[in-house]
Amino acid sequence: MHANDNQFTQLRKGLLEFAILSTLAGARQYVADIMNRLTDTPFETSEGTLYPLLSRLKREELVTYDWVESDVGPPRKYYRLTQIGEARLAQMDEYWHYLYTNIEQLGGNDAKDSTR
Amino acid sequence: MQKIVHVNLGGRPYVLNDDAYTVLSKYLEQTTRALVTSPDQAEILQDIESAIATKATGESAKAVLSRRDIEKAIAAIGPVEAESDKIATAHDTADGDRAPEPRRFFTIPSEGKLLGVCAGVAAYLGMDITLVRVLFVLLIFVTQGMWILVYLVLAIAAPAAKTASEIAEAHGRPVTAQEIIDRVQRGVPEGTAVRTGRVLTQIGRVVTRITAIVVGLAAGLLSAFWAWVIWAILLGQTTLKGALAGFGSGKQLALVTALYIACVIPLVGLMRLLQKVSSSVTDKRGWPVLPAGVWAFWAVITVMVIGFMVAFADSLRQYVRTNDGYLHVGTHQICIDANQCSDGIVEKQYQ
Repeated sequence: MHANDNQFTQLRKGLLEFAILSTLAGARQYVADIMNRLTDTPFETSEGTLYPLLSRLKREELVTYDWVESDVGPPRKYYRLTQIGEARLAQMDEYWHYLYTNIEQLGGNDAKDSTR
Repeated sequence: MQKIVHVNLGGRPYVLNDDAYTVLSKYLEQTTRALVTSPDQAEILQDIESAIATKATGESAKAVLSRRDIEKAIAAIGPVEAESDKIATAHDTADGDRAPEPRRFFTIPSEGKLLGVCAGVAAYLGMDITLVRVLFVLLIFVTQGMWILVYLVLAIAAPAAKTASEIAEAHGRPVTAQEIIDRVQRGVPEGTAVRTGRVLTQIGRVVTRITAIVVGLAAGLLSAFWAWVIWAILLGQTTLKGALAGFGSGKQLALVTALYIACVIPLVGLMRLLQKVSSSVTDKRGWPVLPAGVWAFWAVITVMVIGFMVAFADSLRQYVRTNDGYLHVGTHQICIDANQCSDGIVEKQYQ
């Protein structure tokens, strides 16, 4: 897999929100946790991209955060999914499978054969 | 002595030195601009400020944050991009409709060969740096060396761009995060030169180096010869024979210069290549640092050529006579005053 192929940039961009909601599915995380989770995945990104995205998700009430004091620096924002966010994630997950199934039906079997 | 600045980052106080403050404020300014359409602008800025502060401080609670600390933090965070509703296309650029930044004239030593004057001029005028260098060298010859003074005055009078933000200002572009990132990452990586240098034996390196110097000397001699020919043509004492003799002096200048450039570029290229494999001392682009001897030789040649031109200008002029309306150049005569050219012959040649 060429996870970093430039030709898939748009695809990855479109799925970044999905990826970030997924990282928040288990427990609350702060930005460095999210960054770590995304490292070595195709969704690896910078804080410069992450903060604006998280702020928007917060505004859309998909995520929310709690301030947690830190020993080493300023208090941190720990993000977690809201109920709306959880619902959205489930929807996205479902839609993702729907897309995948459709692509497969459109000829994905051929593609599978060629990789064997 | 460095001035320090107290700032508030994400609601907490920090102390920065002046350099660091310049870089940080440029970055935040750019971030603010990138987020101007975002309803979350204020919140994102706070987040970014906190992130920079956390990263810049690191584990040790430093009293004063330096430019390096700030640049590292910015490099790690990367450029902040506003989210657009549509998915960005490859052609979308953040600074597409941004007004160009005003430029300031700086010398840019880190981009230059000598004092960074040409780099500064190129940045200020938005010209290609190589073109500016060629022009400067030509101007030195055309002005009989006076241009060297202009060069030195510029070098002394203009401030030198040292920080990333000053260099950006010289180029008239906003300090992009990418630029700072590039600068931070440039460091001193182990380049091809180092690796190749290690493989070559010491003898091989010495031989290569000598070859490089010989090639450099050849290029220097060629430059001197070219300068001499140009000078001769300018005075009308043309030494060009055969097909070239038929051209006007403008064309001759152009042709000789083109020939010179065509010859000297491969020579210099070869020299630098040889240097590259023989040297482990490299500049920031991975190119070798030229041995002082080669620079000295070029300087001596330049001074000699200029001296020669000044000393012999009169004798050279004597070769060029004008009477009876003709310009006598060697065995060649060209009519320069149609009223006097008695027989109406434009050009004649005596054996």
